[in-house]
Amino acid sequence: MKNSILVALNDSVSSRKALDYMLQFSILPKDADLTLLHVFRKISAGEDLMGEKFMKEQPARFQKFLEDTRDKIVENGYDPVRIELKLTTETYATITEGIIDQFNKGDYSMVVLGRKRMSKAEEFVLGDVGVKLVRALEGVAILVVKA
Amino acid sequence: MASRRSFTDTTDFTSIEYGDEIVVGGSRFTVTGVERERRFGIDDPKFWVKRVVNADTGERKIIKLSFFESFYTTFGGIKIRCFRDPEKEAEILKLVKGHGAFMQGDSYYDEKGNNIRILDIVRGKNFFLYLDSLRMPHEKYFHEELPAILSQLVEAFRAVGFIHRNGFRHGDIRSDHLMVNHEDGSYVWIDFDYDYDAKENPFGLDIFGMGNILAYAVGKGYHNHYMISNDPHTYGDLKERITLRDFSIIHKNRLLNLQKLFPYIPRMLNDIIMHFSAEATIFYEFVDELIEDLNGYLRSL
Repeated sequence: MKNSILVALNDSVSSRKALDYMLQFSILPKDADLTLLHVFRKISAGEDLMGEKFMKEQPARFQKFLEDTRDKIVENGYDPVRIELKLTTETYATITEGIIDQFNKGDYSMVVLGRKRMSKAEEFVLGDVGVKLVRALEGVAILVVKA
Repeated sequence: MASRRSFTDTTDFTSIEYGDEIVVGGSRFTVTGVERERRFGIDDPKFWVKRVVNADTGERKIIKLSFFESFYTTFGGIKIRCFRDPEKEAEILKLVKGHGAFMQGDSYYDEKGNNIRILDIVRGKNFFLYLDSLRMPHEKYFHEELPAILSQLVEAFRAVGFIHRNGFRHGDIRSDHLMVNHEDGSYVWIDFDYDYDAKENPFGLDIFGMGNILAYAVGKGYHNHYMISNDPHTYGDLKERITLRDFSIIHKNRLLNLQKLFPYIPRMLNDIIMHFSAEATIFYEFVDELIEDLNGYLRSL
């Protein structure tokens, strides 16, 4: 089996925890191909209120975030050549849809993501990407690191 | 008597009153009143929704004017931004043209670009009042009336699935936004101009609304903690046998473990409702999952 891991990231505590978990607990083989992914979601009415300037800055902001994350992984002894950065140019209705689409476009044996602490009610109303991925994806391991 | 005023700009909809005329889409409509919110004893006027008569044809219609209401509400302690989106309702009206499970109508713009929806009147009771009008003991209702009601609900839920697959959500699924057509008994969704910010779970609140309607149908009304605690004649010792897990995950006061109240409710049906309870660990993500379970129960009868 190819060691190819898709790591879905955003600039959040739970994403940082997921990354730390991978690095600290040596579950990341040195010969694994890593894809660091950030998915953009279609702008909601609420985000629209943030203003055009703010929204335009987001791709550059997250490109730098992915680069910083790659540097951190390389500092832990991983080959930078094996790390690919992927910032989606298309926007998705939900983050889940974006991850599933990117997963289907690649050849991955594992998906890693963080999960913030949430109540059952929050999970019901707001949705849980981890649960949705477990339901939707087949033939792959999904590692959900709870913050 | 004040002279009849004619409005081609509906921005200030509160100033449009009984007897005034709204001119839109090449027709003139005489205002005969405003619609009202009728639920739980509330009777609030909706000033942006006018009852009208087409001055040329005499046909009665409902006109919905653009009202950009926006507010935050909480669902199970989670703050969600809700807002009215006339354009969304207009788009859904186009999508569901000729679909019997939705109110029908067309949208136009007034001279100031305000979206105006001209709607056919759905004649009948809303589901909330319809169920309330069935006067019989629950057990008789459960065996004799509920199977047919559930079959109709499945079709209504399937219709919601149709708009979901087309990227829309109803936005305000409640028992008083589902009409029971008095001519053929079919169920018709109305009022889909509401929307909400729920980025990662776009259909969650629609599905939650359907869960509420289902619980209302199976329970022949809602049964809340206050009623259970204060009406021993109806509820007996139920208050001694219930826990927080028997209640809705969002409306923490609303009993969903209806089998504890009505023991003849089969587990198969009760389990469907319990997907919306505090006990649930798995939630419905898509309407089709709910429909599949309901159909399974109906086939088992």
